[in-house]
Amino acid sequence: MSLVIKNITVEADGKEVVKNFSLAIRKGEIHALMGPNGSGKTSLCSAILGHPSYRVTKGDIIFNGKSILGLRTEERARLGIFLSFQEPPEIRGVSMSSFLRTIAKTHTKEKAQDTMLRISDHTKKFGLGAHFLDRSVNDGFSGGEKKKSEILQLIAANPRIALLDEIDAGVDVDSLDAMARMLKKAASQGMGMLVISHSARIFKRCAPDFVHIIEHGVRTASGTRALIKKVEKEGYRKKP
Amino acid sequence: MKQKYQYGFHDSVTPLYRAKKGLSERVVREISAIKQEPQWMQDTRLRALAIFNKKPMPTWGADLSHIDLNAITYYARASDKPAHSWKKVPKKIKTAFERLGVPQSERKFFAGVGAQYDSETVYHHIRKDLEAQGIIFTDTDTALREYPELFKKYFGTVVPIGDNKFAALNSACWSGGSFIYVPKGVKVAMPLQAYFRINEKNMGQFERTLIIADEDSEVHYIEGCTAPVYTTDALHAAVVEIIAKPRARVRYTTIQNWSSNVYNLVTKRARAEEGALVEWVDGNLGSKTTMKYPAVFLAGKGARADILSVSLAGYGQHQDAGAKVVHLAPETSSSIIAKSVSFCGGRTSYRGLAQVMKGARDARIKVRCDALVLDKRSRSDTYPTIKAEESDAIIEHEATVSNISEQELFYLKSRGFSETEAASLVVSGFFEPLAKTLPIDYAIELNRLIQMEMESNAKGA
Repeated sequence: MSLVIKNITVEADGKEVVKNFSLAIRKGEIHALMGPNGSGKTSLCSAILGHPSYRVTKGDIIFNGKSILGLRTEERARLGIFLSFQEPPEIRGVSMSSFLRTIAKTHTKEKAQDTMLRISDHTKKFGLGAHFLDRSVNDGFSGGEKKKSEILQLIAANPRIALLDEIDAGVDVDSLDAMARMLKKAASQGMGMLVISHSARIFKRCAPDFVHIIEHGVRTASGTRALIKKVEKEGYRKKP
Repeated sequence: MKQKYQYGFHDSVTPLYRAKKGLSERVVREISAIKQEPQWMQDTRLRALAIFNKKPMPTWGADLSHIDLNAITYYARASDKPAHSWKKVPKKIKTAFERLGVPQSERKFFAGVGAQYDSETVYHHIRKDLEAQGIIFTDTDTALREYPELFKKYFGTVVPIGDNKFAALNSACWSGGSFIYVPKGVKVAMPLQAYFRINEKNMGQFERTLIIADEDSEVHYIEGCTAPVYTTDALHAAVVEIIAKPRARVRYTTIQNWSSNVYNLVTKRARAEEGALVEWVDGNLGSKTTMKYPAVFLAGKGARADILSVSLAGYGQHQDAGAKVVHLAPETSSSIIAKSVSFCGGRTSYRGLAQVMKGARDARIKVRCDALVLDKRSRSDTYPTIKAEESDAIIEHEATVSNISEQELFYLKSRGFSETEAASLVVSGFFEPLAKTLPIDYAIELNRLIQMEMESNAKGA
C-alpha cells in the first residue's frame, strides 16, 4: 500500500506551482509537509486528487503500483485517497449526518448503523453536541468546526492515504489533542498520511516519521523530527 | 429524452367511454349528461366554453404555441363510479396505482386517499372516525350530487369561470378532483392524499378541487401526479379553490411529476379570511411545460399566506412557476419562497405578483427567489410584479442566482461522488426547505426523484 509521487511538475494558471517533486507514503507512515504560505502545499494536494485546474505536466503519481493520472477525482477518492480541505465549501441543506452516511456508503461496505456509531463516538471526542450532525455541511461553521467536520469525513471514508491540508488551523488545544489521538490511531491501523502545516503545533502531538520542507514548489529538505525544530528556530529562509 | 422516468408505463385499460377528440358544445353537453348534473352546472359549463373560445392563447409566459387543442381527448372514463373499497377498483387500474405506491401509503400516513384515473375518480376513502366528525372528503362529482348547497355556494367563487383561458377550459369540461369540507374547530392531524394519473394518449385531465376549511379548522392536503411517456402531448388544466374561513389553517402540497409530454397549466387560488393561514407547497419536477402560480387573496384582517414554490427543469422542460399574493385587508402578511434549478438546457422562470390594495394597511410581504443554474445551456428568469396602494406596506424582495462552483464540485468528487451524484446532492440540499415540509416518506421519495431526473438527463444529454 503506497502513494508514490514521482518527479511531478504541476501547472496552474500557466505557472509552475510544483516542480520536480517526489515523495513516497507507505502504509501507516506519517509524513509532515511544511513550508511557507504559497509554497505549493495545497497545489500538490489538488494535483494528487486531480483538480481540473492543476495539471501534472511531468512525472507520475502511482497508487499501489498503478498510475492514477488518468483517473477522475472521484475514482482516485474511491481507491482510498482522501483530502481534507483548508477551506471546505458549504453544502447548504445537506445535513452532516446524511453527508457522512453517503460518504461511508461510497467507501465501505459497513452497515450504516455501525458507521454512525463510529462517527457519533468521534463527535463526542471532539466535544461536539449531537445537534452538530443535524447542521448543514460546513454552513456557518467556525474554523475549528470545519476542521472537525473534515476529520469526521475522514473517519466515514476510512481511506488508505489521507492528505490533511492545514488540519490544525483554528483548532483549540483540547480538540487538537483529540485530533492527534485519532490520527495516531488511524496510522497505527495502517492509514498513510501527509500532514501539512506551517506550524509545529500538531507535530508535537502527532509525531511524524518523516518531515519534508517545500519552498517555491520545490522540496528543499527532508529528514526526521529534528528538522521541525530547526525550522522552528531558524525559519524557512536560509540565513546568509 | 428521459428514459428512466419510472412512472412512464402505460396500462392497457380500455375506457368505458371516451369522448371524441376536440372540444365542442356537444362534448361539453355529453360530459354533463353522463354525469347527470343539475341544469345550472351544464349552463355554467357552456358559458365557460364560450369564454374559453373567445380568449386568446396567453403569450406572456411559457411557449404554448405547440398545443393542439383539437387533438386532445377531453373526457375518458375508465370505471363506472368511485369505489370506496380498494377491492372494488377495476383490477388493471388497481395494479397501476399499486405500482405507484397508492394506496399502500394510506394505511400508514394518511387520513384519507383519493385516486383519479384520466377523467374520473376511481377510488375514495376516508377514515371512519374522521367521517364521524363531519369531515367530507370525496370526489368533486359526488360532492355536486350529495352536497349540492355547499357546492353551489363556493364553486367558482375563488376562481371565476372566466379568470383565464385554462380556468375557463377547466370550468367547461371539469371532471373529478377532490372536495373537502372541514367543519368548525375540527383539526385533521394526518394529511389527506390524492393521486392523479393520466393514462390515455392525448388525454386532457381537468380535475376540479374545492376545499372549504370552516372556522378554526385545520387540514393538510397532499397530491401527486404522474403520466405515461408518450411522444404526443397531454394536457393537464386543473383548478383548485380553497376557502379558509376565519382562523382556519390549510396547507396544500403538490408533488408534480408528470411525464415530459404533459402541458401543466393549473390555476390554484385561495381566499384567506380573518386570521386564517393558507400554505401552498408546490413542487414541480415533471411535465414539459408548467405554468402555475398558486395565489392567496388575503381577504380578512390578520390573514397570512405562506407559499413555497420549487421547480426542477431538465432537458426540454420549462417550469414557469411562482406565486401571487393579493392583500385586501389590514395587518395581513405573506411570504413567498421560490427555488428553482435548471440543468441540461432546462428553463425555469419565477413569475410573481405581490399586491397591496387600498385599505390593506400594515401589510407585510416577503419574497425570496433563489435560482440554481447548473450549466451554460440552462436558463432562469425572474418576472416579479409589485404593486402597493398603501404607503405603509413593507415589501421585501430578494433574488439570487447561483451555480455549483468548481471548488464545490471538486470537494464533493474528492469524497467519491460522481459529477451527477455531486449535483444531485447539491440540488437536494437546495430543495431542503421543501423536503422539510413533507412527511418523511415523501421527502425520501423527493430526493430519489431528484436523483433520477438528474441521472436520466445526464445520460440523455
